[in-house]
Amino acid sequence: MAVELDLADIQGNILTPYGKLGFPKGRFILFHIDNPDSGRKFVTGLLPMITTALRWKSSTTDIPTGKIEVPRPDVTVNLAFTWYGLLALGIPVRTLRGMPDEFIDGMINRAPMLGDDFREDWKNRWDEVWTRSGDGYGPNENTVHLLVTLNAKMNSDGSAVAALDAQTRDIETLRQETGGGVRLLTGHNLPGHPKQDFQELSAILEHNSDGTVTPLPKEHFGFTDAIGDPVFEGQYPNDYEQAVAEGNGALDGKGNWRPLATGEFLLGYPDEAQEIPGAAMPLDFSRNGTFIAYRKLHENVAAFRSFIHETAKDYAKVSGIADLDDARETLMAKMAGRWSDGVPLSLAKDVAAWKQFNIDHPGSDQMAREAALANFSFNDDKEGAKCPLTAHVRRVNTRDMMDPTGDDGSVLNNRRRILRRGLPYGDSSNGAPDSEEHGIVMLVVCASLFRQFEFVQQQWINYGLDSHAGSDTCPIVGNHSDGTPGGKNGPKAKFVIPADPSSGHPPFIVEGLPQFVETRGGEYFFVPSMTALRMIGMGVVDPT
Amino acid sequence: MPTFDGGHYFLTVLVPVRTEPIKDGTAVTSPVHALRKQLAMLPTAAQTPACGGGQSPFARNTRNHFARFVIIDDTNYNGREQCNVLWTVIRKINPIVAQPQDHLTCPFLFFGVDFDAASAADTERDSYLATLWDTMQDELQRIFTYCVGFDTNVSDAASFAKYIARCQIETTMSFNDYYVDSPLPLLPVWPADKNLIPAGAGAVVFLLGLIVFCFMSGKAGFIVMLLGAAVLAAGLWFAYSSLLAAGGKPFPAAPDSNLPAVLKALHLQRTFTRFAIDNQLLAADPESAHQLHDAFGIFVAANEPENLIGPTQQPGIIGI
Repeated sequence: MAVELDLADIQGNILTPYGKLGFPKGRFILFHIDNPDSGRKFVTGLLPMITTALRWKSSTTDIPTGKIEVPRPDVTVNLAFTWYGLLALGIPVRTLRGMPDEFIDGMINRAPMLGDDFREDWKNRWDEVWTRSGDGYGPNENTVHLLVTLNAKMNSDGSAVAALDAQTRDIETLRQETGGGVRLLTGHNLPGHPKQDFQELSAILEHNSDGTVTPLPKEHFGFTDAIGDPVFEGQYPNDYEQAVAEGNGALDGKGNWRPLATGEFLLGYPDEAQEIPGAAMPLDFSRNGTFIAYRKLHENVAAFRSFIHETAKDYAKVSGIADLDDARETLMAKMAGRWSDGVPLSLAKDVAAWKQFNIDHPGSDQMAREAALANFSFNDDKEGAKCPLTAHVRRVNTRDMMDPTGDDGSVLNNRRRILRRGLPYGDSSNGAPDSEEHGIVMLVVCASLFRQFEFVQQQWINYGLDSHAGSDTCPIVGNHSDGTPGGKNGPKAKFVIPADPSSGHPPFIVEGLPQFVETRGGEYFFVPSMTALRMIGMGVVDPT
Repeated sequence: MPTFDGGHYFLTVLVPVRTEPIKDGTAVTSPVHALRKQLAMLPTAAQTPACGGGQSPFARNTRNHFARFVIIDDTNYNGREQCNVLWTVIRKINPIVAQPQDHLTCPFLFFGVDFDAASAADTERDSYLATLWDTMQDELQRIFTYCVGFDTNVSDAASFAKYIARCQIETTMSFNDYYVDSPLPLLPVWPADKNLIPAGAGAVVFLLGLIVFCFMSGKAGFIVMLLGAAVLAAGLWFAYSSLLAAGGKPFPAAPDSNLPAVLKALHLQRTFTRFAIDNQLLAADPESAHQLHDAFGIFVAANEPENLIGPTQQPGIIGI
C-alpha cells in the first residue's frame, strides 16, 4: 500500500518549489513573540491564510493534481518556528525536550561545524536580524521566533502582483490586533546599512525586447538552478511520481530508480532506515511536519567572474582547449558538475558533447528536457574524468558514487537528501560590486537537519574525504581558506580537475579559490502541520 | 594471532586502579577521580589548531599509530535475565527477588596501543614500552601512580615493561587500516580438501566396518569400526587445529605501513601537490619538457623519496 499523504494537513512549501512553479517573487518576514497569548492568537489568525499541499492546475507543466484540485492562489503563505519561538508560545517542556539538539542549538551556534565561520569577524558579516539575539545561547528580546514566507506571482513588468503587498498588510493588521505581543523583527541587512523590514526575493529576470520580463531559473553566478530535487513517496500521484523519480529518487544496484521514503522529508513516516524516527510528542504535533534550514547566501559574483576569467587562461593551456570561451564554460562546468544551462557533465563531458546534448534535447519539450537533465549516475566515472569527484553536484547528491559493493546503488546517499526551496535576492547585473546585496535565500527541507543538511554541509561540502580529496572543500559553495599562516583552516583552498588519461593532458589544479559564497544569516525552523498549528494556536499541545 | 597482525602490535592492558581515598592537593578524593583529571589534562594531538595547541606525549616516538586510555568503572548491568513465563511459574521463580549482579572489585585503567613491531615477541613489546618510558616517563608516572602497585614496583624502563606485561590481556580483535589494495591473495590459506582427507578416510573406514559388522563378520567389523572412529576423531582434531593455526597466522604487513613510511608518504603527498601546482603550466607545453624534468630533479633531491628519516612530516600533526 503506497503512502497516501493528507495534503490538506501539510504546508505546501514542503512538497512544492513555488519559485520554480510560477511564483518567482518572494517576501520572508520574521517576528518575535513577547506574549504567549498574543502569539497564539497570531498563529490562529494566520491559519486560514496558509497554503497547504493541495494541488492546483499548473499553467506551465503537466504535473497531475490528483483527486482534489484547489484554485491557484496569487500569493502563498507558510509558517515556521524556531525552538525559542515554540518556547515563547508556551509549548510544554515535554514536547520541547523531544526536539532535536541541532534545532534547539540554532544555526548560529552550529556555525563552526557548518563551516560558516569564514573569517574571524564572521558574525559582523551576518544580517543584523540574525545576530542581535546575542553571542551564543539564551534568548533575548530580538530572538527570531516566527518565519512567515510569502511567494507571489509576477506582473509582466517584473514586479510582484499587488496581492503580495495586500497579504503583507493583512498580516500586519492581524499582528496589531493581537494586542502588541508580537513584534516584527527588522534588519535583513548588514550592520550599518539601511534597515530592511523584510527579506525581498526575486527570480533573476530577463528583459525582453517587447518590454516584458521573464523570470529565469538561474542563480547569480549564471548557473541554471533547482534542476534536480529529491522525489519521495506520496509527493505526486503514482505514475507521475515514478516518472520523476528517475534521476531524482533512490537508485538500486541495477539502474532502477524509486521514490525515496516519505520519512526522509516528513515526520511521522517510515524513512530510509525502514523505521519511523522519534519525534517530539504528541505524535500529531510532529506528524506531517518537518524542518527547514534558512540560509541567506551572499554570492561574490564579481570575484567569481574575474576568477573564472583569469583561471580559464591557464586551464585552457593545461587541458588543451583552444577557445578561451570554451575554456571558461568548461571550467565553470567542472566546478559545478553541470554546464551553465544545467546539462550534466556526466552526460556531456566536453563542449562538443554539450552542444550535441542540446540538439538532442531541445528546450521546446521542457518536461522531456528536465527528465534528461536529472537522469544520470556517477558509477561509470569513478576517476572523475567527466565530472570531477569534488564538483558541486557530485558532493551534494552523491547518487551511486559511494556504492559500497557495486551492487547497492545510492544506499549511502539515500539518508542524506535535502529538498531545496527558496529564491535569489538582489541584483548582480551590470558588474555590480560584491559589496552590494545579491545571492540566494535557500530553504533546505529535511526531516533531520543533523543527519541530512548538516551532514551534507560538513562532510561533503566542507570536507573531501568521501571525494578522495583530503580537505578540499566544494569549489563553489565551500569554505575557501585564504591560507593565512597559523589560520584555523589550513593552506589555500584548491580544486583538482582530473583529466581523461586518454586525452594526453595532465590534470589541472586550481589554487587560491576566493570565497565565492558567504553565509549572511539564517536559522533552523520547524514547519508544523496544519493540525499542529491549530494546536499551537489553541494552546492545547498535550504530550501526555 | 590478533595481538600481532599486519606488522602492528596491538597491546591491550587492564590495570587495576587503587581504591583507598587519596589527597589531591588539599582535597581528599578517590584515585579514579584524580586519574580522570590527569587524563583530561593530557593533550590529545596537534592535528589542527582547534585541538588547543598541545602535543600528545605519544608523538615523541615514531612507533605509535594509536594510543588510548579508558577508565572502566564497573561491568555493565543489562537488566534481569528473562525467561519464559511458564518456566518461571513451574520453577517458582519470584521475579521480585533481584538476581545476582556482577561487579568489579575496583575500577580498571584500559590502555590500548597499536604500534610498529617486527614480530609478536615479548622483546618487541618490551622495547616499545622502554621507548615509551624514555620519552614520556613524567606523564606515565602521573597517570599510573593511581594504579595498584605502580609506585612500589616501577622505577625504570625495565620494571615499567614488566608491570605492563603483568596486566596485558590477549587482543582478540585488532583493527588494521593500511591496506590500499585488496589483501585477499595474502590471506593465510586453509586447503579444505587436504585438511579434511584424514577425517574423511576415518569416516570411510568406519562405514566400511559398519557394513562388515552388519553383513559379514561381527568381530572383524567391530575392530574396523573402532579403527575408523579413531582415525575420524584424530582427523577431525587435525582439521580443527590446522584451521586454528591458519587463522592464528598474522596478516603480513601492508607495504609501507610503519609510521615513518606513513609520515614520509604524507610529506611527499603534500610536497608533490605543491610541485604539481607550481609546474603544471610546464607540463602543458612540450617545449618545456627539459625545464620540467630539471624541476622534478630538484624536487627529488630536496625531498629524497627513498629516505624515511630525511625530509618528512613530524608525528602527531596534520599538514603544515
